[in-house]
Amino acid sequence: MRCDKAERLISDGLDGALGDSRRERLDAHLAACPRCRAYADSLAQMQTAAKSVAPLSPEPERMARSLARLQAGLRGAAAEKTVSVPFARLRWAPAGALAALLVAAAGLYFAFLRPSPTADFVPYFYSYSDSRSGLAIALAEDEALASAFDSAIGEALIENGASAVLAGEPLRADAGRFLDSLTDDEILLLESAIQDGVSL
Amino acid sequence: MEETADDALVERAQAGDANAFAELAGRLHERVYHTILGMTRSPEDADDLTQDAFMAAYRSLKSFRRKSSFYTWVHRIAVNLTLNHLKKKDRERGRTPYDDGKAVLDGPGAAASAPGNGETGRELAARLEAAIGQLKPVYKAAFNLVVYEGMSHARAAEVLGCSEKTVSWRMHKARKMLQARLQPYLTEARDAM
Repeated sequence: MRCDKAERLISDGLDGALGDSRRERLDAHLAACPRCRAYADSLAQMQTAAKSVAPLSPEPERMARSLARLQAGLRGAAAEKTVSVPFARLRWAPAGALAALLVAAAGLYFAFLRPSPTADFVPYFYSYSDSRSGLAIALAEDEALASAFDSAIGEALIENGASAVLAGEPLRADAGRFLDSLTDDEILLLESAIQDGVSL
Repeated sequence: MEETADDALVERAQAGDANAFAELAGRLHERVYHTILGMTRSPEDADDLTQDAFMAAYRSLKSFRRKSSFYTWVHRIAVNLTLNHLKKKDRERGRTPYDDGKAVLDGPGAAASAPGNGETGRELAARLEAAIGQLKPVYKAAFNLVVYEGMSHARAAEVLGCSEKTVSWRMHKARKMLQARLQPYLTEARDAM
């Protein structure tokens, strides 16, 4: 077993996520590798230090205030939902008028004012720093979207991801689950690419 | 039993019963708050993000298809919002990415507790806390859920919306970065034992 593999198993072991067979292989490696034994010792020390820290615990009054604020917010949201339909439509009338204006302006632009294309079409892509979280929230909130994303976009990423990073090109999208299907070496490659500032 | 009771409330809430959702929120509020507090270390941020998470859940209630428990779903929304918030804060602060090989020798108080000055277990814990605070949000989230909240990789994966393998990888990376940062203090604390 290589030391980098052993390091990961040491971490899994601390989390109780190591089966018997992996535990045996790790033990055999540790018996022969002083460097990894020292690493395992330091991780165990960190784990003990982390467990010794009392969990953050807000004062009960603060919790009560937070819950009261939440319940008030929910009451407000529930009241909004009961707004009558005609009134709700009226509320959105200015936004509708603005949308119509924008559509008309866009129509004018594309019909008469748009310059002829001089460069290749640049496909839209999510930037790693700006859109990953927004995408993750959308995926968490919509399981159908998450499923579609996994099966379609995720597959495309898995096919093209590593080669795009190798070529120094940005990927067109990103998803937490994208990492799942990659090998350890590919993940290492992506991690180092991210740290080197490659846009994912 | 509690999950069954939650299911009945979720059903009522999805049918438009606002009181049922308020009751669900009351049951889960404290656990969600603690998770967010663990990630942000800021009661003010935890107040706001807990509020945002439940309001987002309320507005998106129709999209909840019960493939996971309601608690897991709300928890996932809360963690995602918190990750978003932490990333935004990092960008605003212009924080440089975590450097794997750099020891924690910078920052206030470093000289007073540097190796050789008698590092104790408590000081090590404080150093560790500070170093965790400097991890990238995805690593911080995994570390918080697994180490501080005692979740299994499987449970943390559910909350983070990723696989167990990804959680395992993030824990490994987080520990490796923390170990590199804290190496001098770890040696010192071990020698003092």
